Amino acid sequence: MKTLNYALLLAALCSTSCYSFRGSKGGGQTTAAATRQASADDILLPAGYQIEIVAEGLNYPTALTTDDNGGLYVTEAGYVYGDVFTTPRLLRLNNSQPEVIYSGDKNGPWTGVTYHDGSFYISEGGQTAGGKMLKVTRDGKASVLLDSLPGMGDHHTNNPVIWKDHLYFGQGTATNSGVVGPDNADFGWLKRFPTFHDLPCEDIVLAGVNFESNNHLGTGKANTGAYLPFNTASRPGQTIKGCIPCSGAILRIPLRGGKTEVVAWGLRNPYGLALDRTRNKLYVAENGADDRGSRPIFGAPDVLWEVKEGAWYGWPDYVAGLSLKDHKGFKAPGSAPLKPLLLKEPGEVPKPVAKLGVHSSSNGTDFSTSDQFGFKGEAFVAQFGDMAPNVGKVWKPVGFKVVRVDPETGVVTNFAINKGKHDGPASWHRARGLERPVSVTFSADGKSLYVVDFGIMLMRDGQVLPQPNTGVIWKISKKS
Amino acid sequence: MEVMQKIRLIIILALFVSLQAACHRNRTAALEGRPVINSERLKNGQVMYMRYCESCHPGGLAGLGPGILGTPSFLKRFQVRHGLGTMPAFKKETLPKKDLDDIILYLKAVKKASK
Ligand code: HEC
Repeated sequence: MKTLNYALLLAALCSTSCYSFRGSKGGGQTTAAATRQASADDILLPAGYQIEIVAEGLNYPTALTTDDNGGLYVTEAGYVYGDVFTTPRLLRLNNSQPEVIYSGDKNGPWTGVTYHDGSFYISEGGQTAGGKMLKVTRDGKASVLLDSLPGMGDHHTNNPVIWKDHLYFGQGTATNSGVVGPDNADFGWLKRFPTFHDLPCEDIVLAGVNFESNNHLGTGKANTGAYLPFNTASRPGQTIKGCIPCSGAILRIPLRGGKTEVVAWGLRNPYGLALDRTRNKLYVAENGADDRGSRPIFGAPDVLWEVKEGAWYGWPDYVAGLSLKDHKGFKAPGSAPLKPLLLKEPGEVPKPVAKLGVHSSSNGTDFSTSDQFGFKGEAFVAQFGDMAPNVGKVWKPVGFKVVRVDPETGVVTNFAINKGKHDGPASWHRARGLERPVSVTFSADGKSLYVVDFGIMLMRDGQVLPQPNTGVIWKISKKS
Repeated sequence: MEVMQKIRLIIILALFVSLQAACHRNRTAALEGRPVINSERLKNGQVMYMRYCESCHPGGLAGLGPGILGTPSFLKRFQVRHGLGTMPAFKKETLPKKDLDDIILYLKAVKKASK
């Protein structure tokens, strides 16, 4: 009897407070109106800093760069989750209307831009024709530096960084954790590219683990192995040939043109590639795995990595430097225990520089280079914010802010947050602050930090609902 | 019921009650540079917190998991070692006692700073 009483009390309490019984409360899960009125008044910064609006009404802006004269240029994505296509554009921000420098094809999302030696280098995600690297002159003449990158899946071809006469960029994986499944049908790409899958950079040997799901390309059931097309099973000991370009990697090409090289691989979605000029090292913010699809993973943080040449970072059998084999806690509630997909590990996995919020979507990153701005040598990371419940459940909204990370200690500290009791986008707060910061860029003199705020993206009834023309560019600087 | 089982249940109940009671915290402390990290133990606590806890309880507040600043220290220890519910457990081999002690100390400082 006593046991029953305990159990009843427990159940009653659980219904409001324990993870398994709670509904998800992500930042996009709001019934707020999808209109935006931005104001710096609703944002909190450390003492001595100020934030102002530079531009509003942009259509899914993703990245910002500056030219030699301090001119500001912004990319608009042209593709957004929810399978929404618009025109990707490179804009110059003026005091009045932005000026269109170049409009791209229906092959977004444009994820990043950098200016170098009189030209813009743009990463084109590749949702319809594969990822590309574009070079665009100041007067809007475009050429393709690189194409046929595997960007048609969940993750795309990511932002370029120019360093040591090379153009470095991240290439995301096709899938969440190595296996094409129902979540990829939801994204929209599986029907467009029914045979698309992940590509390793070097030869790998599979353990032969297969996953049953509904057959989203036909009827009945499908059985799918890792690094293989949907409904293609794998065998134990099966070798998958490495190739270049591959997915889940940092790649580079010589600026003068030449062969694509692998810098590092075994990453999931290496979104925020950034050069730390203080240490002369490359870092990348990686989006960790989600609780979705045929091989869901629970509690995977986003990670800031130092990019080490030749290293394998562990995807799809490691999360944040920890093997899924040894760390049972990554098993998603209600799903089968995780088995390694690879028979042999291609290398030793490095340790993260820092772990960032699970589902925070830690994206564009840049390093402070000046004592005038402060926090010299620290990484600033734009956190787009959770896409719960599609990525998994959260207790409260995660991200929707800018954090700074000390690469020496891995300590993560809030830098720009919305006012209120919790983290969450302005729409969720029914206020006017930050919505979804997607990248950050320091000005050439290092004195200001520009924050690209993608705009409103709601999550309702399993649908991703981005709201057009709600993007904002913010500028943060020290008060004089 | 076995004694151990009883203790377990009571702890689970206490955890849920402590969650219900979790009061709202001021989120500006970190922006203002608080808590001040002025001892080796606090420094280690902060680094260990970042390594093992921050990704699910950012700044001690709710994220993937619930806010934990209001949870009594003995319950924090129990939860970390036993991982009730969906949270993974952290055994001594991964997180030695000294490091957990420092995490608890760090969380106390964060709580004090955010009142
Ligand atoms: C992978 C994510 C994750 C990590 C990492 C994690 N937690 Fe948790 N934590 C959770 C979840 C989820 C819950 C809620 C458990 C449930 O209800 O199923 C929780 C609950 C708790 C609670 C109970 C709160 C209450 O009052 O009921 C405490 C205390 C806690 N965690 C402390 C910690 C500490 C300290 C660390 C680091 C050593 C840590 N957690 C690491 C996800 C995590």
